[in-house]
Amino acid sequence: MSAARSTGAPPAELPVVTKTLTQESIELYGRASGDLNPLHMKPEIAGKSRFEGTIAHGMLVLAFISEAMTKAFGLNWLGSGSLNVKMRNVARPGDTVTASGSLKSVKERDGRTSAIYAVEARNQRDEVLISGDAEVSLSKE
Amino acid sequence: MGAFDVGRELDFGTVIFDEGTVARYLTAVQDETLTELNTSGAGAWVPPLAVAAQFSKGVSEMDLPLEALHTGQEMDFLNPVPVGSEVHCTGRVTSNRQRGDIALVQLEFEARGNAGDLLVQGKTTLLLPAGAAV
Repeated sequence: MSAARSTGAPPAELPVVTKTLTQESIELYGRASGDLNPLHMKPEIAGKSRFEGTIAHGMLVLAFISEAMTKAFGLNWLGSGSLNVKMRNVARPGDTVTASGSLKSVKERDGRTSAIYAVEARNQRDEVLISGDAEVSLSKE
Repeated sequence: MGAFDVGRELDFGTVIFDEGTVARYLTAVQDETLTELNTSGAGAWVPPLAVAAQFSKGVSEMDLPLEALHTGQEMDFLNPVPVGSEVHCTGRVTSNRQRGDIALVQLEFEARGNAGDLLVQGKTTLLLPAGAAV
């Protein structure tokens, strides 16, 4: 992991992050984040929705992408990262989610260098749950 | 003013990201990477998505219909947030477009530290039944 602010060449691929979701882990996230929407927390209520069961918080799945960026860029990600993503599909209890990213470009602006990654999270059926871009500064004063 | 009228200002409250709050979040997202970073001597930091999650929490408390969904997220992390920080979160409704049976509502949000320093800013798009977005 790159804890320090670095100016090295960005990796072509982000470290892959894989997690399995359970109803318990979804509820744990709900309590930790304060987002107690019954669609995530209450199977008996969510079962009557069009999803026919609970779904994971989108921000929980997005956290796996953020972890991949943290693994690659450490503090640079925490203090200079950007995400621009679309939520494509829902994740459910029992899903195994894999977050990954590939380097799209490196750009220079105002004397600063940034790396842009195409990032995504997929489930075990290879369905895209989240996709978009993550940008991180490679150097910071 | 209605809950989702364009221009409505939203106050999502103040959160102190102490060690316990951060530890609970990291356990919930199964993130061992930041746990390692926070014990490496490089300082102890709040996951930026834990800050951004305050907006999801605030939105979830807005009496939305069960099936309201976040369809898009944009966010910029402008400064690392040290553990122990007090963070104030606000938002604003910036658009509300009705399309047949659905509405797309866009909210801008920002999180500032005690000194007024901008820490996280972003936009989120909500998909709602049209009748709920008034």
